[in-house]
Amino acid sequence: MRLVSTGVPSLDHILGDDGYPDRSSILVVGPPGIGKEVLGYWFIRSGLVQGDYCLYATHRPVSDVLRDMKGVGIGTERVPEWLSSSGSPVKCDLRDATSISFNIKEAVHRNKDRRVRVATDVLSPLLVLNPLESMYSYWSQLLSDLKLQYSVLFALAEDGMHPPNTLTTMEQLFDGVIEMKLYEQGLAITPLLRVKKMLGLPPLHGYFRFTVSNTAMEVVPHVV
Amino acid sequence: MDTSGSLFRTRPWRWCPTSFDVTPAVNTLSSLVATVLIVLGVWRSAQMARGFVDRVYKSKALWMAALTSSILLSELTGFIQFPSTALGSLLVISPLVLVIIVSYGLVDRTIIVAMRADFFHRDALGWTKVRLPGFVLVAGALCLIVADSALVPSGAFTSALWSTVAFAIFVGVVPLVLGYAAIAIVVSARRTADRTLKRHILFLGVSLACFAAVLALFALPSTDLFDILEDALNVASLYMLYRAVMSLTLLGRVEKVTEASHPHSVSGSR
Repeated sequence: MRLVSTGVPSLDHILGDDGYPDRSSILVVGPPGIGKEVLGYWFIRSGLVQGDYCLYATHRPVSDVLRDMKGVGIGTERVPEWLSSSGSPVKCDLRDATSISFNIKEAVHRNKDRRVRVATDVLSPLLVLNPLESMYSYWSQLLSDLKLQYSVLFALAEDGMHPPNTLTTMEQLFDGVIEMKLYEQGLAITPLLRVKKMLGLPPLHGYFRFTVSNTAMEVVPHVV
Repeated sequence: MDTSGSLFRTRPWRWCPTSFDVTPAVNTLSSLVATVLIVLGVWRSAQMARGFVDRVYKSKALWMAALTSSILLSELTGFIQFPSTALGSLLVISPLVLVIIVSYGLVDRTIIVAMRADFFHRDALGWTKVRLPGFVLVAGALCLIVADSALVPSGAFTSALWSTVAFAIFVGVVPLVLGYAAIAIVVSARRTADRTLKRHILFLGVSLACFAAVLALFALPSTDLFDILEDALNVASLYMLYRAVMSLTLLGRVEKVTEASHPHSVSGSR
């Protein structure tokens, strides 16, 4: 199985030295503010450096995402193609889920000769705005269509915004699930990452401490 | 009465506690509980601020740390005996003033964040129109009480009327504005879709309402019942504030993992 770098060398190492499996879909779950997007930014940046086609589908304006990227030390000389609420030629309209799916698939198909990386934060808003049943078939269809190409889709989900069964249902659709959270251990509160499942890997039960600075992201094993 | 000679002579006296015994005991106990709660609040909000990556959430955690720190300062000054001078009075009143200002700032930021999180961006009880006049009223009342604390002991102002007016405005205006803010914050919590934010805002609103009630009780004559009620409301307010700190984000609990079930730990690191 060919692998796709996460953009964070220490996380690549944890995931078996090379990162996410190719032709896979990865879901990162965590509460707001914890830094899920940073993992997405490094994933996209790694793709841009390696010459992959990168698409960022977001419900936020491009300017906000670029400001965040700079804040975590990611240069914006090379940027992905955007599908956003404002600041991009193709708009991302949350009220029109079909057009979002169509535009992602169309962009991936246009670049079928290259490796493609798609990062998106529209999963949670779409889950809030649409019934779970329709979202289940929507994402199931989109993920299986993307798997036909040489691509990896990276999606973010907000923990705490949905009933617990909603996230469990969505997690089942994805090949890899990473959870990022603040964990309480005695009196200490620590930001930890957990790989809940990953295609091609046995279950990983450990916790990993992550740090985000304005130059890099680091993931190291956390001793319980 | 000499109660030192016999145990039997002292016990009946201890078994019939007078109001003089109970009220200070409750007061001391509530101060201790409040201090413990608030120390935990400061510690945990500071740790959360370190853990958050997003600026908005980091800032919220820092605001909570600022509020809990100012309350801790206020609680600690309660254990210190200051001299009856202008400076001593100012040192006593300053932490309370700081708590009220930081509370108002935190509540204002929280209502604005909740309004942004609301899909329809609804104004909670017209807060955007009320926030500035509310702040002016609170700041004015605080200026009066600070001036009263500073000037009366120094002899510059000896008018009892001045003190009465300053105190009446303080206990009338501040609880009223904070009470309104507490209702506005609860209304804004009901309108947000984010469950974690909703819980956090609700706890903050209840805490603020209890704090406003404590300030309102200052207006009533000091009786044992009111003193105990004030202590109970103070502890309730701080407990709710602690819960608000803990509900800033969904916290996980680390489960013990054995080496055998952890096949992918990085080599050489464990």
